[in-house]
Amino acid sequence: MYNRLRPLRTERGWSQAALGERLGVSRQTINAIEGGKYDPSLPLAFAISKLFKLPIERIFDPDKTGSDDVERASG
Amino acid sequence: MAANAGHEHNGLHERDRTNLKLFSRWFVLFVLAFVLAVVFLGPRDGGLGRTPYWHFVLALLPLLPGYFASRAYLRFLSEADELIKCIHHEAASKSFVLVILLGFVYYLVSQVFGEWKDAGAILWVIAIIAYRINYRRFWRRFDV
Repeated sequence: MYNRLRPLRTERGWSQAALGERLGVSRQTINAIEGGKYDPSLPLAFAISKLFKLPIERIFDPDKTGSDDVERASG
Repeated sequence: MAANAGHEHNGLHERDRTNLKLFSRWFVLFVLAFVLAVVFLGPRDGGLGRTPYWHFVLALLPLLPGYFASRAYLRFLSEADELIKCIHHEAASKSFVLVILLGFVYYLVSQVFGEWKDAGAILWVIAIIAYRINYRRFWRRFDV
């Protein structure tokens, strides 16, 4: 599932660990979500949405795959 | 940053590390009690009437730390970070499938070559090793 977690996080100047701390998950979880390797659970997706004050569909898109990184890398 | 240092070590959340430590302590006690029971009991043909009562106590001894180790492990799993939980479930299910397959293979082979009395214990050791290997493998997939 495509997501915009990394740009949203870096805009705020947070590290992966800092974001994980705010959400109560490990840095690896954040890293895996940003890398498009892992889809978060519904409660975590809602927690992310609440933290960034954005609707879930503005952060995650089930119709696409990967993340902003993958999109950028593939051009 | 100081909060982060406490938050993460070896990639695990502080809460997960605490729960895992508790499980490890009970598991070590379980293994010690189990080995103690196996060494002191040994194979006997005493029968119920001639078996000293402390043999029963020794045979049941591993149950106590085993119970607490299982409880601590389930608590670790239920409270774990969701990615860690996912990795553990994947590792557990793969090692479970391996044990089932090896169990079937052993059954067929034992029909040809006869039974091996340590097969059960070896199977569990293989399961634990497979669990650890799979856990490491899945963890590496996300640990960047």
